[in-house]
Formats: sequence, structure tokens, C-alpha cells
Amino acid sequence: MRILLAEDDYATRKFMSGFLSQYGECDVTVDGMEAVDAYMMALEDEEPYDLVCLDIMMPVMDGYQALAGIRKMEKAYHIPAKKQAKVIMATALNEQQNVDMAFELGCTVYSGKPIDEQKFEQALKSLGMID
Amino acid sequence: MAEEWNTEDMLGTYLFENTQLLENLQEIVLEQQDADCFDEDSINEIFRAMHTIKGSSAIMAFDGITKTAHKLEDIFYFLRESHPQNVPHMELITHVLDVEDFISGELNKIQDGDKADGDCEPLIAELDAFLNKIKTDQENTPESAPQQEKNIQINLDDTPAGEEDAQVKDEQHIYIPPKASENSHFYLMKVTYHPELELVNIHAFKLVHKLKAIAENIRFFPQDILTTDDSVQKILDDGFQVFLHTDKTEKELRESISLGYDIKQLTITECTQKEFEESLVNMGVVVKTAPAPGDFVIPLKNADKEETAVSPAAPADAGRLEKLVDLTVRLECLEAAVIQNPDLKAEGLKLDRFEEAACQMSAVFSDLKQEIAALGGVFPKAEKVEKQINETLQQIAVTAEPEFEDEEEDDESETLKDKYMTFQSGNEYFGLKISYVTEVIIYQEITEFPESPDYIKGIIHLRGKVVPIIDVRVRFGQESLDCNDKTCIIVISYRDHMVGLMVERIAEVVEIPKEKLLPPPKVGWSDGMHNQYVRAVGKVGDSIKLLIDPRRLVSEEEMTAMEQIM
Repeated sequence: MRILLAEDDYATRKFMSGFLSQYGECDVTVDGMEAVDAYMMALEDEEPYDLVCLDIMMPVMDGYQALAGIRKMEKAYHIPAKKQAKVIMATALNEQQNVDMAFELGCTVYSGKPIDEQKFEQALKSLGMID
Repeated sequence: MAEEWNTEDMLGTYLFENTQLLENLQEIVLEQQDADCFDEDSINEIFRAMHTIKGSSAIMAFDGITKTAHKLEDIFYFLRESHPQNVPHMELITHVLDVEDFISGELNKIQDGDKADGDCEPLIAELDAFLNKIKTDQENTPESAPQQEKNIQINLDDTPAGEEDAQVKDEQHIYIPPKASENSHFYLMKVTYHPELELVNIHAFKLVHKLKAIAENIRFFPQDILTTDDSVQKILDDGFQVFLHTDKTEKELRESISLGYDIKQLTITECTQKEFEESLVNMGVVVKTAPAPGDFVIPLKNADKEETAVSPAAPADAGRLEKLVDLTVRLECLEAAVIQNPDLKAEGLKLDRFEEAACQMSAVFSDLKQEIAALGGVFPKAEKVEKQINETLQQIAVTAEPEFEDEEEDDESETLKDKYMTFQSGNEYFGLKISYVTEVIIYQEITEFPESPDYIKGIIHLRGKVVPIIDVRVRFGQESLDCNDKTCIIVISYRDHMVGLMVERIAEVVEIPKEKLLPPPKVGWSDGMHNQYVRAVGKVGDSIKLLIDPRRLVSEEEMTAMEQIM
């Protein structure tokens, strides 16, 4: 499984990349813009990401904008829904409206921070990404 | 007191931001007026703008604006969700511009300080009729050929497998709450408010706002407490429920919710994490959390929830709205604190409404101010009033002028006692008790002013104060001399009056013990005039200094009269 991570905080980034690496090959970016660029590169190389993990509060471009960017790109490339990347947003923001907005923009999983590793794994399983 | 609030900021922000929104709205309309219909982005933007205006106008209690914005919001919500075809574009444009006009007009009234009293009913009726029309139109033409084509096109773009994929997409929304730590507590809280309380949804919001500071995760029901009035009734009937995940203990939790006058009852039940999450799901508040293997994933519950504005800009709006609400709530609490203060009630102040209380308090202070002014005092800050009154009384007691033999009249320290500043005027040397002297300044420009006694040469400005300058020679019946570089002004201060004495020459400070003081000469001057001013004669070595009593230099009446002119 190919995984893309976007997280601006070093400590969290270290933790997340270590944690995600157990499920697949994990590429690391530090803000929303880089993430969108990385996603585009992967599409063009025909090795798209299966899972994208976005922080929300990031400089340059935040998680919502990155998510919107990724979904727009998938539409432009006519990627069928089944093949679209699953997006996980991990953030300390926990308000109902933030959650709603994320889902509205096309997020698959919304996780509050600190991340509950067990539940996270269960979610991946139920999405059929790991077994 | 009411004048000290600055409500300008809250109102100013409201007016500014909503005017901006309306301007943006106008721009969109102008851009799109020649198109066949509004594009998706415009629909979203207009929806959001109306949603924001509706919310903030509701807080500010501008009902006409709120209702109108709400109606237009409903129309654009329908456009957004149902994507009806063949919407009469020009008519829609007209309606949008009408709404924009109406709201701008109301905002202008508010800005000018008038009431926003425009009648929104006709406009709302129009909007209603329009919405019904496009709704029924849409229902009547689902099978029209052009629409069919469009559907197919969408399918091709999105999901080649059609419906099945769409469903899969819908179902896959999973929410994982933040990880619980060892210190995590989960609480179900139920708050009952007093039934007579107004705007309970705002109080509920206030509570949530406070809890957010300590919450890992917080959910509440009813959910939409800011933008609809329905929540008010729900909260009053069923209470306000809050689901809280925090690492605070119950004791700490209770402490952080300082119970105000608004909460009738607060029950806190601690529960397990599982129970917490199950209640969330049961309430339909949130999608089931990441399921255990074998569980189903429940689709996101959208049906009966009113959609809040969703776009990257939403959080900023929410922040501002929250700030306004928070301010309103805090002000309300302050008001209540005054109105319910038992001490103030005991004073007989009528405190049904805060504005009345403020007026009465103002009147009391005003009376006090006048009283003190009449006593000759200066009104300082409220806390020092008593001290000032006492001082003023002491000064009044001193007004009764005893003979110079009575040394108690001048309250001076040991070091200053018996010291006199001497100066020359004409052929005489005069002395002035140094405790009266504030400073000596080199002659500076004296501004004449008319209607003053002839011995008053004019006035000077000394550090913001207006000080009358007395020409000592004229006062003593001599002719005024022209000023030269030796001329000085001795500034003296007594009884809160400040006076400058223009003298020809300053001489040294001398010490004259009491024994050397003699009563003033009864005769010796042609007109005998300045016997009054000279309170004693002092012998210093071989010379005689005539000691002046500044209080006699200018009589009290003349002083007051002068000060009034100035």
C-alpha cells in the first residue's frame, strides 16, 4: 500500500510516519501544497497513493484545501470512486462542524488527536485496506 | 455605568462585516447576470453569505434582516442540494438584489442610529412564492430529456459502476475520537436552566465554550444552538446535554463550571468510554466510531440535521460569531450581577432594568459632585470622595482668620517654620512665608485679560494651569514699573488657589524667629492701604521686612470672581 503523509509538526510527523510505515510505503510531506504536488506526481507516474493522511492545521495550505485539491485532481483525471485514495484527517480540532466539513470535502476517516492506534487499525481493516 | 461600555466594537464589527458580505454578493450577481444560471461556486457563496448574515443578525436581534437572510438562504440551499434545472435566472437575480437592497437599507439605518424597522414581510412573501415555484417546477419535470442526458454525463465522470459505488462512498465515513489516556474521564452532563431564562441557547453555548478549554472531546445536544430558535424550546423542555471527554476529575469539572444564576440543575454522571461513544451514536450526534471487526459502518446521519455552511471559510465565520456571542453572554452576566446585587437594592435603587439602575447611580454621583463643588472642593475619583470632603471641611475651618499672634493657623513643618522669602518692590522689602511659595519663575509673557482688577497684570499658563499675576506694586498703590530682566514671578499657592506675584527683584530667604516679629505699622503709608496685606513686620539684622499675608493679598470673593472669569 502506498501512503502519503502531510504533517507540519516534526514530533507528530516522526510518530505518524513510523506508525504508518507498518502498513505500507510511507512518503512524507510537510504542508498541504507539498502533499498535493506529491499526489499529482504519483498520479502521473501511475503509482497513485492508496491512503493519504492529512493534518488540518498546516502552513501554506491547510488540510481542507489539500483535500479539496486532491479530490479535484482525481475528478480531472477521471479516477473512479473505487480507486480514489482514502483520506484520513488527523487533527486536534474536534468540533462537529470541522468533522462535517471534512466529510463534505471527501474525507474518509476523521481522527481526533491523540490518535487512537487501535481504532485506527480497525478503521483501516473495515476499509479493506489491510486485513 | 452604561456609558462606559463600548458597544461600538460589537456593532461596528457587525455592520462592517455584513456590509462586506453584501458587497461581495453584489459583485457575484453582476458577474453572473448574463449567464443562464448561477454556477455552483456562486450558489455556495451566496448561501454562505446569507447564512452568516442570518446568524449574526439574530444575535443582534435585528429580526427583519434575520428573516430575510433566512429566506434567501433557504432558496440557495434548495438550489445547492437539488440542482433544479431551468430556474428563472433573471427573476432570481432580481430577488437577490432586492434582498441585498433591503438589508443594506436596514444596515444604513442602524449605522445612523435609527431603528431597523423596515417591513420585510412583502419581500419574504415574494421569496416564498419564488421558492415554491421552483420547487414545484422541479417536481413536475424530472423526466425531461435534457436532464436525463446531464445525469448520464455526471455518472461517466464520477463512477462508472454507477449507484453501487456511490453507496460505498457514502458509507465510508468513519470518525475516530481522540485517544483516551489513563487520566481520561467520560462524563454525561445534563443541564437544566431556569424556565424564565431568556436565550437559553446562548447560555448553553457559553457553557460549551467554557468546557472546550478542558475538553479532549465535547459533543452536545441539541447541536445547533446558535442559529435556530428551536433549540431554545428543546433545551427548556429536555435540558441541555453535554458529552464530555476530559482528563479533569469531577471535582475540577464542577469548579470550572462556576454555577451562575442561570443553571437550575446540573447532573454529572461519569461513564466508561464505551458507554460514552455509544450514547453519541444513539443520539445520532456522530457516526459510529471505528468499528471492531465484524461491526457495520453506519452511514453519516444527514437527514434531519440542518446543514451548516460548509466551506474552507466557515471556521473564520464561526469564530467571529462565537466571539460576539461570548461577549453578549459576559455582558448579560455583568448586568445580572448589578440588578441582583442585594446591597444596591437595600439602598432603595429601583433595579428592574439595568439602564434604569445606571441612570439612578449616575444621578447620585451627580448630586454628590455638585455638593462638593459647592464646598469649594474638586471632585476626584469616587473612592476619594470622603477624604476630599474632610479636607475641604478643614480648609473651611481655616477661613476664619485669627490675629497674627495665633501661630496655629499655619500648618507648616519644622524646617519651613519662620523662613520667609523676601523680595523688593519699590523701596520696600517684603517677605512671604516660604510655605506658601510653590516656585519662582523668570518673568514670562503675561497675557492680559480685560475685566480684571487693575492690580492683576494678566495671566500666565503654568503647566496647564491658568495663574493670575498680581502686580505687587500696583497692589500696594504704587505705579507699575516696566519689567526688566530682574523681574520675577513668585508663584504662591494657598487654599487651592494659585497666584503669581510679579516682583521687581527677588532677595534671599531669611529666617525670622517669632520674637523678631512685630505687629504691622498702623500708619506710614499715604493711603494706609497695605496695612491689610502686611500681617507683620520682621527685623532682619538692620533692615525691616514687611511680611505679607497672601490670603489678604487677594480677598476670597475677588479670587472666586477672578477664577470664574478665567
